[in-house]
Amino acid sequence: MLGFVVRRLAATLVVLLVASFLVYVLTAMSGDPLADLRSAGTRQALVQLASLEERLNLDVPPVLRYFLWLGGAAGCLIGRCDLGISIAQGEQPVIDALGAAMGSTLQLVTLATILSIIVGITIGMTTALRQYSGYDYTVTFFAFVFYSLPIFWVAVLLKEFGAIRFNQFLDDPVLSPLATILISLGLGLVVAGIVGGGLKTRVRVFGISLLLSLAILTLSSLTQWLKSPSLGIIGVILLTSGLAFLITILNRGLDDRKAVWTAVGMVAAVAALWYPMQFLFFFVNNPLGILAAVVILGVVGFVVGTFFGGDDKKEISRLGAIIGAASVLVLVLDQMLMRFEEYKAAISLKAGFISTIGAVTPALARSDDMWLRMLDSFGHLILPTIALMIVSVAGYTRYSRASLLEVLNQDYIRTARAKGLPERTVIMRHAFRNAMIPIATIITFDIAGLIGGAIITERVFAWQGMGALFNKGLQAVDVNLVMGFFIVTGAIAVIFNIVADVLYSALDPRIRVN
Amino acid sequence: MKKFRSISLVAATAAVAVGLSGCALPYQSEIIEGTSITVAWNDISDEYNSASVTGNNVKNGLTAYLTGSGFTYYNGDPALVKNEAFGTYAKISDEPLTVEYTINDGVVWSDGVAIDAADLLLSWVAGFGYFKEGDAFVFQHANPRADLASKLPTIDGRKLTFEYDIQYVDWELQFGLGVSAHGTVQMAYPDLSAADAKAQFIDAVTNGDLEWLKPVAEKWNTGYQTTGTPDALQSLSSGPYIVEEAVADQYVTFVSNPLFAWGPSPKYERVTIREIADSTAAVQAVENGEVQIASGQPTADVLALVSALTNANYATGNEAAYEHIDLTFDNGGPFDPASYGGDAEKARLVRQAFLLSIPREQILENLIKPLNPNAELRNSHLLIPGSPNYDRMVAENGSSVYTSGDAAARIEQAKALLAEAGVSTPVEVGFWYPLGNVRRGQEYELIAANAALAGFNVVDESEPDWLFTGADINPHDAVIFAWASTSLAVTGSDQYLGTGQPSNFSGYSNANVDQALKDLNTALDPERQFELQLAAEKEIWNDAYSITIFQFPGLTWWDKGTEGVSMNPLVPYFFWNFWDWRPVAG
Repeated sequence: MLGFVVRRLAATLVVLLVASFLVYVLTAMSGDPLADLRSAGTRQALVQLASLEERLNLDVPPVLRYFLWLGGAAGCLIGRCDLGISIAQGEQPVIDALGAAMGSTLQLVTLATILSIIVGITIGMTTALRQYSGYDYTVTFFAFVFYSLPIFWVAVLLKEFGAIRFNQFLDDPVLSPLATILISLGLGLVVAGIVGGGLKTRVRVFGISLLLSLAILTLSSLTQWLKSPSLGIIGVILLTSGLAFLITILNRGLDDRKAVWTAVGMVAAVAALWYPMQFLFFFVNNPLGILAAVVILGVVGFVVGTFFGGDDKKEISRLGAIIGAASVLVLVLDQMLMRFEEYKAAISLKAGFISTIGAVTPALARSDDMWLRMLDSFGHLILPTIALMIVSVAGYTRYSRASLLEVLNQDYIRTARAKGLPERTVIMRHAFRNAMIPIATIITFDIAGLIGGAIITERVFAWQGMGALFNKGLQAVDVNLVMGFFIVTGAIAVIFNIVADVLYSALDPRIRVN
Repeated sequence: MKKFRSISLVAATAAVAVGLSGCALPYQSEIIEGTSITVAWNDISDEYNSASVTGNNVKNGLTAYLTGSGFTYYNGDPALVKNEAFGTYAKISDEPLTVEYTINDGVVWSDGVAIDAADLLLSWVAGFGYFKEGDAFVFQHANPRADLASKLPTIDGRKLTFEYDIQYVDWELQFGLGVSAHGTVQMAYPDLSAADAKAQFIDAVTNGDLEWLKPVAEKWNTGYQTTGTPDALQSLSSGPYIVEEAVADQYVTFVSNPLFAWGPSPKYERVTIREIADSTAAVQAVENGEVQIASGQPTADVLALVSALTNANYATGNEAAYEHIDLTFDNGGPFDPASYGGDAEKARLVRQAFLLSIPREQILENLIKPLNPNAELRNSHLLIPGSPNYDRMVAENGSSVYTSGDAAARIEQAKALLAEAGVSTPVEVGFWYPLGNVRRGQEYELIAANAALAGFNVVDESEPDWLFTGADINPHDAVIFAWASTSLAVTGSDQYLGTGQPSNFSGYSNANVDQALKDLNTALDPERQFELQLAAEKEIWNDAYSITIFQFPGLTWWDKGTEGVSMNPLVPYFFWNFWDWRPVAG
């Protein structure tokens, strides 16, 4: 295994070296980095011109200059990086510019990646289970549409409708009766499609979800809930119940009385702990508070699970712990929404809270209140995250659908069914896990791609990450900056490639490398 | 009667109050507490000394403008305005040219230390390149003018007096306040008190103590560089605002300087400059209310978006850059006398015929007016439209040849000139413009079509970049360029008009122009300045070397909740009157 990794590493290093040479020379020959200064025609431009020509070694031909650069870059291996200065960044050392941009990109990409994986795989799996249903065709259709959408266009439209118009709507959030009915009908169809089953079941599910969404939408219109959303203890109980219900269905099914009682117990525990948690969140106003809540509720869940578990103690207590940890999400949302009014007063938007540019509201970046900052990040992240997700989700949907379908046709699934395992166990334990193997490798590739590939999204949302850096570097023929970007993204691509290989062989015992 | 008495009482009280405060109305801060404004710009400052080689660019200039004070600033005309609440300056002698700068009493840095002659001295030694080590300047100023003054100033408290070696015409723009002396010294010698820092700095300069000064110069050169929030010394402010927080490539936030009491008072307590490079993003940010003021080079699309905003106002106007076409004299092409056996007059006729065949009105009408309805042709090489002598210049400089009559008449004229020159048509003209620049591509199309009528075959020689600047001789016969006037200085144009100068890419050489521009450097009398400029322009127009077309259009849009925004073609652009920005009442 080690030999394999070393061989892969050596091969990719050679590729990286050759690629870096090509990129360097091509970028260097693509133009004159000092064109602006040359055409400025002023005395100070001439002084600056002379100083920069010397510092950038512009008298050396690009092919040779590459080796000068390589010498500095090789220093990174011994901890003394010299990637040169960036003219596009005010002669800042490239290494500093990279550090700042990297942080910003990770912030943008992390949430989008996690959400795309969860949403994409969920949709993909459900379509595989309901293969050739109306739901499957609809999802397939939209997956292809989204997959082929140009991101710059999506992003601008998202800003127009997701931010500007939606914010205006939030100023007086009353849905017309027609819109309420249409949205509820749509939701009902989707839910009925996912649940599937016989006609009778589907009609029943459709009816229930239609009525439920009608009620929720009408209520929120009447109370103007969207204008200043808040959860409070009632909202927390409702949401936690929903979450616990979902986790229980996926994990054990509603037939398992012990699991159901554990879920009910956890909802009660969260309701009881809601008040004391306020103190925890108030006094430990930093990420440690959230961590503490996760631990506390996880332990409580474990205890509740053990109490109801009977002979299934191990599994049920795990379920309790999962529900407990997940319910922290609801509590966090509750904390954030408590500060909604305060947040709206602090930002300059006249209506709504969804921002179209940047990562933070400058005035709030200094705030001591973590929850307020989280709300602010949320308002800024939501649109770029959706923009990045639209394409990724479409892709993951297709991959996971194909993968699960393939697995479902395997002999061992037939065996599992034949020996009388419940369908849930067959799907979740036997099929799902095996279907995830190829997806895991695709995900690792994708993460590497996302880090360098959010160029357009970053530009449209004025997000200063790696993509913006690369764009800036190219515009200014700033070879050093482009190469800095190349090193980071190239190295990440190489590393994740290896990770994917290793992961694959680790996950799939049938594959052994020698 | 009673009414009259009370009025006179009020008047008397007011008179006493004015008298008590030293015959001037006391400064009233007009900051409205709790107000803030966010402004979009395409780049964020990364150095707080905007005079150094590395710090000298627009983004740092904007920060310096908000956090600094000067003896003068440009208003929207543009014209130079004195700020006498900060300090005064005067020419006290013509021969030798001697000037005196005095900072008013009570003008202080944001840490409370008085701004005085030590600060002016620091700015002076840097700006005039006083200290050199070998060939290198110790203070790496962006434009050290060691050629202008070499005698150390005399200083006295808040007053600094110095002599120019020559009669330098742009002396009013040459000198001003920069970064603080005590702050820069304290960066290098942290143990010194502010007073000691100033005193030792003055001593070191007068005694030429380079050993002591070098660490200070080091700090002056690079100590003000930071992409994060500057520290207390880096962010010392002499202006209405202080840098509060900066995040690299994202935003800089300024908070009002509580000590500021010299010059117009701003209204917003906080100003944030946010980096937004994409124009569409800036339009949507204003629409969404995240940003209150933004600006950009308009395209038809951006203008359409901006004019559709319901919550924002916008203005179009001129920018500093202007488009012009230069003809090449030394490449053996149709405009080179050498092509006609050295017959300069023949080449001149061909040049003039070509310039006459450029459809300037059509270019303006089709490409610029849609973006700036008030756009006009620029008819002067040296003066920016709207500047004081522009109209006189245009009337007399000989540009009327290209403005009289209509386009068809000028084509006839061009044909006649070609006939007079006796060249065989069509004359082939290699025309360069930057490939990929849509507007210039369109300009080329219009020019090629119109010049064909006069007998020119204009060949598209567009290239992606300024490749020819690397070659010794410009291979193209006509090139389209834009120069930007960044100030109202009368000197500097010799850089692209003078014989053999680095930015003169066309081999243009006219001894009279060279002489006039050289004399201009030392012509202190404004009337004489104009005469010299006129003399140079007459020659240039008569030589048919170059033709100016239009001023680049600019576009600024701002939220209706803000008023007082106004454009300015010169740096610092729409920031020039940031003190007038105010929230709309109600």
